[in-house]
Amino acid sequence: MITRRTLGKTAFAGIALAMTGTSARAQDFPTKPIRLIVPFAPGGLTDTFARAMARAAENHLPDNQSVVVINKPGAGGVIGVTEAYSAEPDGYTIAFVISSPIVTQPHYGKSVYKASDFQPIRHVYDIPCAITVHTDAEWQNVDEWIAWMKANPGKFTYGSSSGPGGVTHLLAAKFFEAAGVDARYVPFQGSAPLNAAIMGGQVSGGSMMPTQHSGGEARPMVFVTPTKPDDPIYDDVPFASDLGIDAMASVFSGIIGHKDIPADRIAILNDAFTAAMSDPAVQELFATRKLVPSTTDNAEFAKIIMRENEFNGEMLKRLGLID
Amino acid sequence: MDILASFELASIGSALFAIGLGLFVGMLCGALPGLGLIIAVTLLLPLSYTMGPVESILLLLACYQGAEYGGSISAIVLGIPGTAMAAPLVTDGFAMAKTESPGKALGFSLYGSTFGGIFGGIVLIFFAEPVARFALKLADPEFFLLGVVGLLAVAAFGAVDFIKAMISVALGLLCGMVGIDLFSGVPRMTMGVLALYDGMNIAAVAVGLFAFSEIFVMISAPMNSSHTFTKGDMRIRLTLKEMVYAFKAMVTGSVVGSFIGALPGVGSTVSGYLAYSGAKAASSKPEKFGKGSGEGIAAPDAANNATVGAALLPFLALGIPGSASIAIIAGAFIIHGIQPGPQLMRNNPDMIQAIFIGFMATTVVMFFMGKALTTVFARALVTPNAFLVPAILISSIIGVYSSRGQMFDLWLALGLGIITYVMRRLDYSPAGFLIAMVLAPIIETSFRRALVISQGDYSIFITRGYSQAIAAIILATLAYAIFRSVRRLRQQRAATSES
Repeated sequence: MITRRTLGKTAFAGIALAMTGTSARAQDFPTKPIRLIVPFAPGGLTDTFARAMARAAENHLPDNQSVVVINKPGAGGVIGVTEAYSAEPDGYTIAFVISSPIVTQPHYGKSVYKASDFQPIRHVYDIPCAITVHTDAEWQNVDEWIAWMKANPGKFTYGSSSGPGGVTHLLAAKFFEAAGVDARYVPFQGSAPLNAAIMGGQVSGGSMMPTQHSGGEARPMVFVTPTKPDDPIYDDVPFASDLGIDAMASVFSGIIGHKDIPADRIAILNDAFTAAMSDPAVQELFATRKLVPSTTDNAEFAKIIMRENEFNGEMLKRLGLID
Repeated sequence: MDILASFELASIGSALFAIGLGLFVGMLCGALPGLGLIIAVTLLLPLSYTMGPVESILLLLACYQGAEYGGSISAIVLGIPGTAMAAPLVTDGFAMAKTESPGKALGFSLYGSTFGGIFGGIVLIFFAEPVARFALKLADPEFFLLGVVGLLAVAAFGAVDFIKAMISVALGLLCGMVGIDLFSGVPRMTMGVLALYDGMNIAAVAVGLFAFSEIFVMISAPMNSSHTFTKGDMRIRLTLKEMVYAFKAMVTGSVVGSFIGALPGVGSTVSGYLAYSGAKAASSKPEKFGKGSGEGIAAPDAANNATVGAALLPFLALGIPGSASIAIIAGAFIIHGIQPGPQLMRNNPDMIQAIFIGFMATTVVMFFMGKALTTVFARALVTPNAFLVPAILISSIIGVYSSRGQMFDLWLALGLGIITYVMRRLDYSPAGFLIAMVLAPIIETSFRRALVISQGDYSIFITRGYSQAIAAIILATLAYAIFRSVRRLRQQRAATSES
């Protein structure tokens, strides 16, 4: 029996079918607002950039379609990324992420997705990470510091902004392992309590994005990422690779989408967000946060994602955090 | 008067507009059960991007103040705290509104809030740097002991049945442990639900515990009944005598609120409860607490609003945002190209001064807006439940869902609401449950981290100077409580043997 309801459905399907011929054409995308999921609470670094990028990208999308930022915090970013993964892969739901929910969390086997379930849309910046100590700490340079740690095994205590098993923890652990010193890890969650603990002398140091350029009282000893904040105050701080220590990885931040989003739509989104990066408001944000705008293309970004995914899996196994 | 020179006439107008708007949105979201501070601030965030830096920061700070006060309005007129922060004054506020005068109860709340706001502002303006430095010296061992002090505060709630109050606390501690264990990364008691990985959503818990359970109470009574009050009882006014009477409680609340607010990550729910028990201990009429004491309203409200100024202080002085709401305000600073921290005070003194002046203006404007608007809110008391219940339900459901966008949170709130409805009839304590749940992560994390740092040496809790001071306070409180109950027991015995 054909009810009015099924009739309506059939008619709709018919129209939809008739439209598929044209809807694959690039200029028909986007026809409605794009949801940009931020898997963190409002106000943080990721959220601030996502909102600025979203506003700037609107001027560069066909028909000036809007980009709506949706905060879906929780479970270290997994809740928001899961939402981007389960949405229809039509390019209308994408996510502004940092590396950890993509390349760290899935190794614990608690997420429904894997790193390979996503494709890059736009690499925005790398988050610089350094091992920092209190400004008044006795070590003047990295050699003194490493020599001290070798002489005092287990005396250096450190936290990480991302919590145990998070990417900043893994980077520091790899550095200490490669440098051949014994440092003791103390769990903290978030850079605010970690900063307070370093300033209050609870722990000797922390693995995190340094804030000395904005008057922070933690001094970086060594950078464990290939990027530094764009400020002359860090000119004398070496990279781990400068010391001949092979312990570097990038903590990427950028926009990604489901791997099944059609390539032409990815291209439209990539164009809009790439243009957004040279928007004055976004440029100003880069300048105040002292971050370096990325010039990495999507082919390279995809390689970075898979490389970091491998590094994290390996480190988690070595630290005994996963089997 | 170079302070005033930093404010031009035009900017005074726009700043006042920002303050007024922030207060209004804050009070509204605070007063509507379920909606809260975070939602209010998130709502205003896009608007703040279009304003000047000072205006946008004042907008968000005013919203913060307004929400801290707004939560109390519904606690008093409905018996449902609009936010978890207002939970400590629900017993006394609702009791006074029903039995005595709603205007007077709201008056104690508004005067307390204003006093606390000004007190917190003064602490912020004059003692930002030293207090922030002092707060940094407090480490995990002290946080652990402070958490224990918080649990002791539950004893002040005059539980009908002590054993059941303790069971409520134990359940609260247990629920506070739900989520990923920071130390091992293992999810605890989450039953595989992702929405529980960060613990139970506090907005959902507050709504379940207070709003839903109160709704069940309302619908099990005649739905068309309502209270009637004379017009004078609805007006928000305190006599000089009442102000003097509540002064001690306001000071106690403000001191507690400023201290707790300056500690990162503790928050105003804890400070409200501590202020309540502190005011009860200092009061000359402790027997009135729980039955509609003006002091029991003024103290937690003063504490809530003193927390605002104090919470800003580690952020402005050291660049460390101590709470989720301050973190959002930090975002507004950053979007305007201002890096909070010690440099801000040095490089932009004009801006800091403008913020300080605006902050004080906020508390004054709040007082007058509160007087004008609260009378409207108080009408809720004379509205029949048939209209109130659906309105509260809608607001609660929207609030819980929009706080994190998780359907699960609504089921959690409903489940907790049903359980609480039954437990309240059996004299269990929702307040004990809530404070234990809020304190559990603070107590657990600081206890375990202190031991990680000391490599398993328990003496870390008593060898540090600050922790010795706090431990002494705990022991003194316990000794005093034992002394009092022994004396009461003796008096009772003497009384029975005489008769």
